[in-house]
Amino acid sequence: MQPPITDPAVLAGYLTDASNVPGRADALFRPRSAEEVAEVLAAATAQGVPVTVTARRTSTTAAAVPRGGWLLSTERLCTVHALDDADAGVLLGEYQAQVAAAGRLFPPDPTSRHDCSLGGAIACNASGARSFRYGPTRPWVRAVDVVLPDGRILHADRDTPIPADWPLPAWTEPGVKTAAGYFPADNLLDLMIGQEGTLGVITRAWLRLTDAPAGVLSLIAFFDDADALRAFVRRARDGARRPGRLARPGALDPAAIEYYGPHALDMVRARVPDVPAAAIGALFIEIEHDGEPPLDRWWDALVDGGALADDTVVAEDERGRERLLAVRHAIPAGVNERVVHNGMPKVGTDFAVPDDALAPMMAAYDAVDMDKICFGHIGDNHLHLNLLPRTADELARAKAIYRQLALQAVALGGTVSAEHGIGKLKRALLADMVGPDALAGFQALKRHLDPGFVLGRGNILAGPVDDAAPNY
Amino acid sequence: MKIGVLLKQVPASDSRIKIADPQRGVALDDVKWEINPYDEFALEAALALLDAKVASDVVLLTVGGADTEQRIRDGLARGATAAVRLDDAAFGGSDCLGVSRILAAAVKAEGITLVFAGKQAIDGDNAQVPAMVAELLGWGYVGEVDQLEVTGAGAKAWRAAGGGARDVVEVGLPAVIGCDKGLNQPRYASLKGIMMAKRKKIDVKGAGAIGVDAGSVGASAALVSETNWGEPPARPPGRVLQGDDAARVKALVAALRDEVKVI
Repeated sequence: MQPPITDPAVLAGYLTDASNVPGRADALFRPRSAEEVAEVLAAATAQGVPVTVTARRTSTTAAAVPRGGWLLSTERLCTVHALDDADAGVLLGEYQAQVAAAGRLFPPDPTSRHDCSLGGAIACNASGARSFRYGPTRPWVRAVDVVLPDGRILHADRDTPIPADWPLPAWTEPGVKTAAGYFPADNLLDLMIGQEGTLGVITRAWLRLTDAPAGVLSLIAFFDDADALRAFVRRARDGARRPGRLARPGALDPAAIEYYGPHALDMVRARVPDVPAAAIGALFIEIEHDGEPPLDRWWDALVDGGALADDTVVAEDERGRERLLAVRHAIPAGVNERVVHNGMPKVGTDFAVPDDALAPMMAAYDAVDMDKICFGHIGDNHLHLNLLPRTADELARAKAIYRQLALQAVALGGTVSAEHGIGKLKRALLADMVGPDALAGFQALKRHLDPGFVLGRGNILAGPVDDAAPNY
Repeated sequence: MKIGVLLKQVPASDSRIKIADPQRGVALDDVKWEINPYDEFALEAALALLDAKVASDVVLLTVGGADTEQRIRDGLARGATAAVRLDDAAFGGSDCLGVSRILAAAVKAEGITLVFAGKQAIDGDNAQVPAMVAELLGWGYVGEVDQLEVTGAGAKAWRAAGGGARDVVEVGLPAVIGCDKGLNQPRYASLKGIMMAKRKKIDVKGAGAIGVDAGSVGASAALVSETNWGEPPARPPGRVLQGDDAARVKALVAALRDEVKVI
């Protein structure tokens, strides 16, 4: 086993993630192979030392934040072995660029894709705008190498059975995009996708690729009426290609539908030209095509659908798309400015609900009386409401509102976490969603594989010692 | 006022450039093309004057074959009112001076009184054509402009002069302005604009139509000849220092002092 790094100056760079929750750790390991990962995990299990897996620390749920013990970084597992075969520590965006150069596509596109690792994306079953068409990361993984807490190295694909003596939780996921709890899997691979570094450490993955589209048309359509906007979303996704379903001939068939609410537009007006004054909401839409962008069809639909059609802006190439995405990128920048100005953290939701529950969920968001902005993946009924409290009292109220909205999402048949995962910050919400029986099932599985709750302690489930969820 | 915008297509800025042949230049088969980014600032400057009704027309001028038309249509979609593609067998192989003669003749033929161009194109990075066009026309030229005020009779232009100082240049019209980053924020193309651009006609004009002497342009008139194309020398491989900590520190210090010469 390589000697650990204990220099506080080095460790300091690994103690938090995008959640900004502070952590603490005694030592850092940066293994270069699955075998070295196995040595670290076997030693940790033998000594009862907690190990937190850290990749690129883009988690918003404190999943990569250590609560003591050791850190295991995947950053040195960084070889792309073949176009469809890469180590877990490879940067997702860099891997996708190599795939794209060969005319192929690895679709998962979390917002952090240029900053996050492939293994991190698999471990939390990441998704993004294109998940509307392609689904989350799960269907794009064919196999992984994974190291269990006791140091066993397994190769898992969808033909690999789950060992018969593993107690599996019996539960059903909500029928929406979700990244909450252990997947009700019938094979070892699917169990290891989305387990947030609590059941094993993914070291290498074999991926499924598809042909890149000949062209992608991107547009931002503005609306001055919220009902018209929602009606247009229904129309755009009607008959569209979705995971496991082909497009209906003649459908508008977008690949992604993203939403910017009124406060989000206000936030970007100062940074982005061409946002019409009358707009109260906007849709960022991506349309894949075979070389001839379907401009006329979308123009007709936008005019017919009550959009501010004349103001619709478009991009026909990657550079133009990046410019349009400036709207998207201006939102977190604006939120962060507000957070710094307020001196209070934001409280952000990650709920998704079924199609017919989008309107009531948006109404609930609209009714929140606090500084806020709303944006996100409306095609999947998955919006992020960011509450921006200005005082400690408002922060407490924001947290209460957050919990209340989570319960409402669950009551509507949705999930408490559609893409960010549970990590350490959403354990209470997971319990609300899955109920005590499923939660006990998760705990039994975890205890069977990792009796000391050594690996990823505090993620998804409370650990035996550190029971309190960190505050934020 | 009729404004001309010199529009050039260049390989996308993230292209991986490969040498096709040391005598012929780079391989262009797999290259994606885009409007030269500095030309986008030029176009936006012209469109802002059109919006403000200081200009009556914005004409795009591009030297190139039919493969440039998508970029020209992008410019029309943003709001340019007309476009001329300058294409003639005699133009092939022109150097910067030849291209400038073609563009200067077209500017004159179109009755243009103010020209906006990118300060340079990001392919060859020559930064010669805008100034040469101005010289051939006998007009004033201000380059690297990042702030501009245009009135009916002249323009006041600002540019960085180094060390935080600013040049302020006043120029009478007609003139050529070389545009730099920071001058404006180029607008997005609109869906409506793209659809309308598909219906706009791109005029194609050769040497005769713009009144340029075919013998003054093209490969035979070029004063610059390309002799060889090559890639920059490869970076030397990294080296992992061996031994215990003391030996590696000693070797590192020696390398920084004797090889890299930074300490």
